[in-house]
Amino acid sequence: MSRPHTEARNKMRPSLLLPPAGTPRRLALAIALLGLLAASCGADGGIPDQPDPRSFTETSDVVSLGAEGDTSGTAPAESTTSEATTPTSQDTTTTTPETTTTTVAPEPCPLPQALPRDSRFGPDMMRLHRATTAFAEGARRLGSSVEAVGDFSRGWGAREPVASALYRMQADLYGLAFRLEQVYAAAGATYSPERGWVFPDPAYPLATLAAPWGEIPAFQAVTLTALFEARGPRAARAFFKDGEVCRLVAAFSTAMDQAVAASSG
Amino acid sequence: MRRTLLPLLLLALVAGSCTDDASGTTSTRPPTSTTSTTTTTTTTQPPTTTTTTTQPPTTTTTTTTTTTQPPTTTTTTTVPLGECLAPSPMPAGVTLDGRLVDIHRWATAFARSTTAVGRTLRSINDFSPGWGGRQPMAAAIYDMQTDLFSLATRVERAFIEDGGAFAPGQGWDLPPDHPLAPLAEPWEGIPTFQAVVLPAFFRAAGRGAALRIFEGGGVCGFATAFSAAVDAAVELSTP
Repeated sequence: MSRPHTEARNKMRPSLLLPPAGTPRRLALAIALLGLLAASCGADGGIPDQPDPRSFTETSDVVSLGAEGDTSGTAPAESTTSEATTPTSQDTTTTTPETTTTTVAPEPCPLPQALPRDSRFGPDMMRLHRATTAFAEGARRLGSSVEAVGDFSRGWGAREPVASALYRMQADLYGLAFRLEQVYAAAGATYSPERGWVFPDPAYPLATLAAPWGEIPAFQAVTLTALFEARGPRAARAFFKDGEVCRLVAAFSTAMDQAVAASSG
Repeated sequence: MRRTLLPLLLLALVAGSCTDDASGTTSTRPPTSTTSTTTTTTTTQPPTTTTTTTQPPTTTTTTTTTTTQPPTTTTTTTVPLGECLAPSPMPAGVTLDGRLVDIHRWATAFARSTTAVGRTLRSINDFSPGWGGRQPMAAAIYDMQTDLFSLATRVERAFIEDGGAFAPGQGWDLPPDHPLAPLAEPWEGIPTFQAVVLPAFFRAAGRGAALRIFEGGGVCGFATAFSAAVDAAVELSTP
């Protein structure tokens, strides 16, 4: 995946090292040094506004396939990352000898913000935060695995590497959903299809998660159905880049951030 | 004449109550059912298809009835058409691995909630696109999926605890003669259920097509496969 601009630049580079004919030796040496310097600057700082050509798969987090050693569905690991420090495939990294600057592109499947270190939240909030993070990470892994698929013939979603990633995301989603039900029930909330969740305390911070919880059936029956009926890489990847799959992830992460903010305030 | 009618009436009443139980109307959620003698826990129940849809889960009566139902009543009395078979009752007087007991409960819940999906399917008339995401089907699907992944997570955890390892594309590598080994196959079938069977089900544009997929295309059959695997695991675990 080479870019025309880069190829043209590479072809030009050797000529920068050659002095014009008839140039005195010292001057030629100086020109050569300047050429070397220019070439090295071009290598590092060239085309800063271009996206990193590396694919999502190459730069994504470690893909944990299957259940081996990964119990995030039942006990997601505490996340220590945050959006501000987690580079993604869409980021642009510019390196100079002194500094490294990373511009973070918006992540379509955002994780919830890391919990403030100095704050004390109850166990429900902590568990739900972990579960929400695990779901978002699971969706990202599914996105990575879809990027790696070459064969989009019927049943592609049930074949590796997607199969394991799908299982993990779903286990994380329904783990989060079930945990949320338990937390709500313990808080005295009641559910009916007509009214949704009703909370005894109108200011209950975790009530923000009720809206994305209610979207789970549509996610299952409509979004995932459409995803797995996609018959090509572009159509399938669009579910992640354009947000169909990531929309529920974003809704949960945003709701979690709001719950944290409400609890902190 | 009156003496004959009275016993007949009583028999009919008993039969009626047995049918209600067997159809899984009051399907239980294993972890909560064990502690669901309080009103608070009753309200934790998510929209449990027919029961919750029609009756707000506010009474303790429903929970008590559910908790005290012996599992034998559920699986052995009647198996109506469209019923997704639950595991056989646990053998009496035998102490089994607690994890298997838990898995048995969740497999039963999964079979019941899958049966409830079928029942809901027969009750709806609007099969325009997105029908699976609308009530009452939405609640039934949610329950089925929650039960499935609760079951799957427990199977997975038990395998890992016992030194099992999963390799994508190859499946579970378990210690020899592992009594829970029969559960590996249906567990490995979950991605196909999610990515192939359910999408085909939700794409069905009418009740007939949806029922064909439900009954013969792998929805009900998947729950039945898990139940059969649990039965096999129980048999292997029984001394």
